[in-house]
Amino acid sequence: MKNKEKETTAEQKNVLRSGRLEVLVTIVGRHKADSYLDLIRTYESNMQISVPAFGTAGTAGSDIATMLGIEDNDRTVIFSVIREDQSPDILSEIGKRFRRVREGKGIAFTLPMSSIIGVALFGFLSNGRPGSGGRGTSGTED
Amino acid sequence: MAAMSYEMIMCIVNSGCAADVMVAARDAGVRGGTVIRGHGTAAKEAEEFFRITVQPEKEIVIMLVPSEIKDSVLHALYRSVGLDTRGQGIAFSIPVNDAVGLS
Repeated sequence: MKNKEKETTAEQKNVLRSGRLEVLVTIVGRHKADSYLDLIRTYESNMQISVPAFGTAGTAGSDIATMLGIEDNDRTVIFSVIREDQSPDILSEIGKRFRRVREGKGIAFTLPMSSIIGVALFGFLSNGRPGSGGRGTSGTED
Repeated sequence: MAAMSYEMIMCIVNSGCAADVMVAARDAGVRGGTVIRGHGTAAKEAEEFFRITVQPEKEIVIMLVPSEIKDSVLHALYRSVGLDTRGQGIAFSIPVNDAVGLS
């Protein structure tokens, strides 16, 4: 019984909570992907993975484009890890760019991340370097 | 920022079946999706035991749907591209915190 209590205390000691992370998924046209990667990077996102993909959304006009073979279905899906506190700012900026940039339309959304292991990894993903302004204090010590 | 709540549905099917996924999803009210090509791995022993062959080339279809239609979309996918079909698909949903770019 006492051992169990000790284990729980040790576990609690190792888990520091605050500054949660989220996965930001950005789906944009392939030729505009680099500009969105640069934008997300400015919000202290240290890890981004871009994957080539293609879209399937159809509009009335796109049927004709498909027939003519000029439809541009090429997309890039960008998976980025961001801090929860940065999420509203990033989404708002991406939303602005979707409206502003010609042929720059897309969708972006954030998914919750429930847990992560490794202080160093958490520090990397949250850009929690001392003095950087990042609030890297969550995760489990290894 | 979107006021509605959304879910991300991910459907992993055998290569060449993404169109079937989209047909079923559209019938359930989904407007569009994004397809990523992937490579599946399955335990060889399990494959032999269950006498199932897992085609390694996969297509992953990502769809962002309003939470209200999530269940009907998942049911539609289960019926048309489920494990008993040619697509041998699995589908699941993940909650979305926030979304932009949906008109």
